[in-house]
Amino acid sequence: MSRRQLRHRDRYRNQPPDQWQRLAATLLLGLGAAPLLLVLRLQVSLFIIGLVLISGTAIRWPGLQPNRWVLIALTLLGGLIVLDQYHSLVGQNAGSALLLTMIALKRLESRTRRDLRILLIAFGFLLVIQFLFGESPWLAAWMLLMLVGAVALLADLSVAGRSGQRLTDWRAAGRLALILTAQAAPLALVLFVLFPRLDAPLWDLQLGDERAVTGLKDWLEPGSITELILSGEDAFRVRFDQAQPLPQGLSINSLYWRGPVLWRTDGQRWLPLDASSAAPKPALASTASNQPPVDHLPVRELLSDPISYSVVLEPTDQHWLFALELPTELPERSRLTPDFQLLADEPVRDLRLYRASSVIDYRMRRLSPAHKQAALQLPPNISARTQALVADWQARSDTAAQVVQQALTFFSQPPFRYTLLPPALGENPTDAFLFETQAGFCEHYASSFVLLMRLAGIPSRILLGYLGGEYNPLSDDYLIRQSDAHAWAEVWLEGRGWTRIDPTAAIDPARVERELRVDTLGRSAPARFRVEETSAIGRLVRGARFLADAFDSGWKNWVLGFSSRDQFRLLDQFGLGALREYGLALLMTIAGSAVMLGWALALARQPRASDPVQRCWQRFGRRLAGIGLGPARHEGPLHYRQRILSARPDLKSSIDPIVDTYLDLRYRPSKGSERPQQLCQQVRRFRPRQLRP
Amino acid sequence: MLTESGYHRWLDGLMRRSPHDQQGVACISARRIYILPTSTGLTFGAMLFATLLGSLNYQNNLGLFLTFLMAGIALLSMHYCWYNLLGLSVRCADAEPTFCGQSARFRVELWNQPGRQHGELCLRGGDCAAIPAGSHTEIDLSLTTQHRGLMRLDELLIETSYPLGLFRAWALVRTPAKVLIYPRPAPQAPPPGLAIAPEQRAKEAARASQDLGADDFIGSRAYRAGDSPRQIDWKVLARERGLVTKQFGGDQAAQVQLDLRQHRGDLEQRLSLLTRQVLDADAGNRRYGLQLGTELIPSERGERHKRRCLEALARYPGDGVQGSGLGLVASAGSGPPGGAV
Repeated sequence: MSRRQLRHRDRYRNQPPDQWQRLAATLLLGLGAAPLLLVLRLQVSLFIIGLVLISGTAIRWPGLQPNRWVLIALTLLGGLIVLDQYHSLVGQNAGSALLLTMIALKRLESRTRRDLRILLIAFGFLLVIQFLFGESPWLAAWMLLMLVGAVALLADLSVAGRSGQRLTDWRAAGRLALILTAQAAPLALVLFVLFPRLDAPLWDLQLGDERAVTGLKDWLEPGSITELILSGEDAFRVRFDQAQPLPQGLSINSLYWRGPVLWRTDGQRWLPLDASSAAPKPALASTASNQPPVDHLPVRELLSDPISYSVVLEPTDQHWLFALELPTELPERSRLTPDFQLLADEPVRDLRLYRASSVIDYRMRRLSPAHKQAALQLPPNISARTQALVADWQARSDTAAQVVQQALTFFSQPPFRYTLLPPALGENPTDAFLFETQAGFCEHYASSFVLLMRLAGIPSRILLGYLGGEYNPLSDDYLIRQSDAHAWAEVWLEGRGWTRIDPTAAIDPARVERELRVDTLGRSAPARFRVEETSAIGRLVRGARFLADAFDSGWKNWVLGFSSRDQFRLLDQFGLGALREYGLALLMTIAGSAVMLGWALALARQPRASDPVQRCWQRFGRRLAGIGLGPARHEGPLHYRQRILSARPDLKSSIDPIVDTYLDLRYRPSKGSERPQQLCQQVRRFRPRQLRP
Repeated sequence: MLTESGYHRWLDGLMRRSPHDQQGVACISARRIYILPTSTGLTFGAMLFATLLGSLNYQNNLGLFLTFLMAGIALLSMHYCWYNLLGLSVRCADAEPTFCGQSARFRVELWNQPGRQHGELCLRGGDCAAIPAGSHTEIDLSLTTQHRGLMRLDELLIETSYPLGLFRAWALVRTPAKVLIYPRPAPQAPPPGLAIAPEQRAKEAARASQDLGADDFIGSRAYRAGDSPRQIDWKVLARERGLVTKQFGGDQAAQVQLDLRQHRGDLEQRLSLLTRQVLDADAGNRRYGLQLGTELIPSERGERHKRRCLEALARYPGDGVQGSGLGLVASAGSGPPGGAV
């Protein structure tokens, strides 16, 4: 290739961008990185913002453009800042911080169009990466907008123009970008729905570990639930398979979603049976075994029909999947422990969808000696007045059930009251709560109750989970928030097995303090209006909230939670279920080809002139093109007629009136007698034939 | 055995060059369009692959959707790019004759029969322009000339990376356009020999002095120390042809006879000198004749005469003329890398 050609290619592909293009790239970078900047460490964000500002001002005052040495120094500085803040250059946060720093430096360094194109490609990568930090519809909409902007800039950068003299046509570029995005959307949708997914990750960089997640912990100590209740964020959503209302007279307010089971205590803190919930536990049942799990359970009989439901669980970073009492049908990749905890094989790092069935009412066979011992373990700091209290109850009752009843009556009497802001309890929280403050909420009641039962020789344990929820009629599901977190107890009664006792429920509702503060404290929770439902505004507010919730629910169910399971269900509907991944690939190829065929047809479609005269004149030209006499772009109608007649004098009688009508319509409008329809009629009748030699 | 034209047709088919009709109009049809991703497009593809793997691995549905959307946009831009060349009609008119070493300017006209809109199209070696709906566009193609004679453009390369620069489509188009290239004028030439006998000179001189005055320009020669700065041809200097002194021959040079045999050296050099003399004589508004081997152009003056002489000089058989302009096409870029070969 000669030098001339090189120079030409250079000019064509790589001329320096004009200042609007540079400004647009800077703006796009700033706006597109904004959501990430909010997440990154302050020092890193400030450095990046500084870089973007410098590149912005250098467009107006080119003197501020740093030279090569300054750029190298800035690059090193950026890497050092990231390293200093995160002590690493890889991982989700550090890697993203480093990437963004380098993109901002690339912008500062960009001199040619090629540089800006590379920048835009890295920008596309940045857009995708940000979904590791958040998955809200707003973020998605913002990223989509940024993508359209990037495509517009890419389109503008590809216009070389006549020898450098060109005007940046933002409207044309923006329109093109919108059209491209809109036309590409069907293919993206097809691929999204049908592209085979991985069930297990190929590699795991433990990206989720740095994310702080609100949710239940696998231990309980005073104050740990208050935090949750104050957070007010969403915990999970439930949809029941049965039609509303719930069967068997149940309501959402009587459904206890079981999470961690706590057995061991040191007087302050309650812990599960094993040292850590992550350690492998003997599983009663798991989805790995094909037999119906219920046969393996130490259950004597089931007293109710199973309830089936599907749950969309927010990330917890823990293993628990929340389920009703006794799960009889387990979700995929999960197992059931002997204390009926439902555990996922992997910690729930992302939104997880699962289905399960539960039996609410059941009878168990017997308590194993090991469990019995654990369920009777006592802390060392039992005070004498506590022992006296229990001894008094035991003296006055014959059965364990009666002791339980005594305890519940005890809690239901004044001065026990319910408050989310209890006074501090000190060294021996149970004693202080029972005899001094007598104010607390579920965690205080549940832990004190279990201690008292153990003193009375009744095996008991604490349950953590959720109670209650809000029904959304639009999406037909229940939203359970972190503020619905709850702690209750289970006691072993001979002949019944583990029986749920909720001491908090024993308190007289009149003594439940609903602190307004607590209701509205949630950091990101939707403000809970307590407006009269009968008023118009109240209904409106509720409706709006339900609508937002339904949208959120749909977003989580169908966008974030869309998985291979949904794909296979879809495949079944096409009767291709047996083909599995191959069926998906087949369907994807067919649908993708159909979309692309649609594109080709849309692009090949010839534009119809909006003017009827022009349209019919074009048809006239097409008819003549059929015999090799198409109009040339440079010809006027008169020259065209001349050319036709010189080639085909025999057509004079049919061509003359058409051309005359056209000329009248176009150039002699004052005559007024001609109408577009007349021209069209003439053209319609005009069917020239090839001359046969 | 293939005939030569048959061979060319076969080669055109192989290279997918679009042929032209009698009017010189070539139409780019579907099978004659090449398309490949640009380096930007390849980088974009690599980025998409990375985001696809990442999103699949972390089961991030939003990332996956954005990846698919970007892939869709890229694929769609490929369709746009290809359609941007489809159905394009191209005509290239003959360029004005030019001197060797100067650039020949061809005017390429592009339009689309049904009046479809086209994004930016570029001519290899030339400019870029878009075609608005229902209209047409003209792109200038300036090519540096290297040999005198009649040069054929032969083929044009029309390329586009519309709309996003991720793909580049191009098509080769046959064109009958040609340009006549005059020999490169020598920087200076000695004063031509006179065409008339000495006895006639006085008569002529008397007439000429009435017509033209005594300070007629008759030619130029290389600058020698001592020449008056007034006689230096500053325009020639400005054209970077060196210091040249203009010579004024008074009344004796009204009519000259230029002859190839007057000069020594190799043929091209002699033709160059003759070209300069023709230009000088024309600038001096004198009558001149030209003898080229057996061809004689009688004495005349004026624009048409000058053209005729220059044309004869351009077409005079020699080393550089036999080639049908391949040199020119080569300098214009005969093929894209990798595609046409």
